[in-house]
Parts: sequence; C-alpha cells; structure tokens
Amino acid sequence: MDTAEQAQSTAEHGRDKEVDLVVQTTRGTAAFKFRHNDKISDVIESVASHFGFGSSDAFSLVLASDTAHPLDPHRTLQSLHLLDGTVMILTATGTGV
Amino acid sequence: MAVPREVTLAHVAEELRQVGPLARERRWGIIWRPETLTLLVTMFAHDGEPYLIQAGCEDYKDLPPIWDFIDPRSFMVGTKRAFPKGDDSFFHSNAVICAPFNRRAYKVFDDGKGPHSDWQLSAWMTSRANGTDWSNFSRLGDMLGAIDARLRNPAKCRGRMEPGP
Repeated sequence: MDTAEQAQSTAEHGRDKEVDLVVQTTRGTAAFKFRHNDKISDVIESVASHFGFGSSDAFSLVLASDTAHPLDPHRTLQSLHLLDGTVMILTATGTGV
Repeated sequence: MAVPREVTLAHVAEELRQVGPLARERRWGIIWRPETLTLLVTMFAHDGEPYLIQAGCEDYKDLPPIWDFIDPRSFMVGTKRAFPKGDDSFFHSNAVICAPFNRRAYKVFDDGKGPHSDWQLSAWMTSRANGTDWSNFSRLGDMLGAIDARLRNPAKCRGRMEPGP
C-alpha cells in the first residue's frame, strides 16, 4: 500500500469509527456520539444546538481533565485520541464590549 | 419595575438546578440566600487564586443580576483588588463585568457609573452588542460559565486587577 492509499485508508477508518462523549454545559449534561474524524467545531455546533444556544457566539470546549486549554476548533477528535466516556465542558465565553 | 419575589425564586431555582452538575465538576461553591435574593459563588482561577462573586437578583429576570466581585481577604465589594485582570473589556478596568447580563454595566443604573449608555436594560437577554449573541448568557449558569471559563484560561485572566501586598 503506497502513502496515498494509506492516507485514504486512515481517513476512511476515521469516518467509520465513533466515540461516545459526555459534554457538560451550563444548561445541562448529555451524552453524544461523534465520528473520529469530526472536528471540535462540529462538537461545539452539535452540543450548542442541543442545549438551545445561539450558534453565532464564541464557545470554549475543554477536556474536564484539562480546563486551562480550550481545544482548537480545527482539530479532529481522532487527533486527540479520546476514549469513550471522555468528559468535555462547553461554555459560551462572550466578548469584551 | 418589580418582579414578584416568587417568580424570581422560581427562575433561580431552575437555573441553579440546570448548572448543578457543571458546578460540582468545576468546584464552584454556591450559596443562594433567598431572603436577600443574593447568590454567592466561589471559583478558582487557573493559578489557584480564589474569587468570590456576588449576584444581586432583585427583579430578575426583568432585569439582569447585579454582579460584583468581593475581595476574599478583606471582603470589600467591587474593588480592583477583588477583580480579575483580563485581556479585553469583559473584565472592565472600572472593575465591572462589562456585559449585557450585568446591571452594573448600564449607565442608567448606579448613578451613571456603568460604561454603557447605548444599551437597553429591558433588552439584556436579546442584545447583540459587539456581534455576540447575548441570549447565550440569559441564565445564571451561563453567566457563571462565562466568568469561570475566563478565570481558568491563563490568556484571559492575568491575576488580580490590583495585586495585593
């Protein structure tokens, strides 16, 4: 298998695999299922919508085990090597006005 | 404007229930004093520094809460020693949380000390100030979450506005 085939295989593998996450918010906690190649921005959008947040705002998604470092919205879940049951925290952060 | 006390009590009870699991996860200490309609919350910043926050909830939710930081050492309210230093005007240099969800941010309140004469108090839950959807901060838990997220982020909280001795 050449490099291109390996990359395609990895991408397809990521599409197939799923991870179960628990996301806590200021409006409640719920379990979600995402694909490994979903991005953090996809998680934010899904969770925000589920809890009735407006989508235009700035949100911070962190691991409950590392709350000082908001996750990069462009990263995929696969790149974070998350296990089923990982707890994350979503908060709307607002802006200075 | 006078919101019946029992209405405010119901709003606060429901909103504190919603945020309960997150509050436990984040080790917030929450004390609700129904006799004065005052919420007291302790939080810890990224550097372990404790912050004590107070929200006066009279007339909530027709009006937003009145948010103040309290110095955990002297218990003085609203001083720069009590207040965090941020990277934008959310933690305003006047030692005011500058957001539509804080009654103190409005010039019509508190003898005109608030920074904003351009905001309508009655529209606090639908404000789009600075392009932000402030309906996302229409519940007490949302407001506490915004404060906590900033305190926990080293890029957003740079110690106290006025360092102590």
